Amino acid sequence: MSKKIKINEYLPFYYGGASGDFNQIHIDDNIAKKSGFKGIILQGLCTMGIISNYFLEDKNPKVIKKIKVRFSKPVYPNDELRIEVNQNKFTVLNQFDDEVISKGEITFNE
Amino acid sequence: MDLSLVGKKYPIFIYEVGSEKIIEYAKATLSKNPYSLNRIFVETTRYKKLIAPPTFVATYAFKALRYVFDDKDLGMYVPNVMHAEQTFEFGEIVKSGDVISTKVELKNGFTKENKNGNKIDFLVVISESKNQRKQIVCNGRWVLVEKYNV
Repeated sequence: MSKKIKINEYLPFYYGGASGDFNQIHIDDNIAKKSGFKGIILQGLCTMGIISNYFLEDKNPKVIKKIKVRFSKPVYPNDELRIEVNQNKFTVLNQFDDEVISKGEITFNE
Repeated sequence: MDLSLVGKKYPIFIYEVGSEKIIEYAKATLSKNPYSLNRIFVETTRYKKLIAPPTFVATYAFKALRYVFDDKDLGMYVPNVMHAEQTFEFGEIVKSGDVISTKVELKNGFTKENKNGNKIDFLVVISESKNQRKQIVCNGRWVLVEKYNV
């Protein structure tokens, strides 16, 4: 299973509004650079939400029982992600083949 | 940050779930799911209300996590804090109109050095969220990392 997911350049702002996560590294380029990044980064929980919705498709949300991720590398606006799935385990990679989520696990209700 | 505060519990945060917020969150996480986005569709289900995507917990519990980020005694410098790991275990679904109570606790904390000899603090926070019927809707385990000498 491998679908490409483009990260819109405005997504950190949009997700900030939806979730309340306005940590400056997600909205202020200068602060993000001072914190060691190339620029603003996407909220980890936004990436996790996108992945969760990818698995959920159009099914009832109750089917997902548990999800676990490790945020390995930052996701930047305009990144293109893909998900590699092996049974209930998954990784998420960017366009450079860097793992941005590793040791992902998802469990479904029977 | 002051990891001696491990064990600290914070006040319960109460959040009322609204339809528009479910839709906004679903769109922000690129959902196409009709249970979260389509009011006409959900009328045909037994729920009759929009259902939040599972990770909507990031909205109602994140606001409870603010107590941790804003805790001056803990002393996090938020721009240097990274989210390292996250686990969510779900119970009852969350629907529009539900009232979710979330409590958080500093569960564990430790310090490591990276290969450059810089100190990194790890903080494990757990959250427990229940609906208005006292049913668990989500238990979360949040691993936060604060880097120094960035």
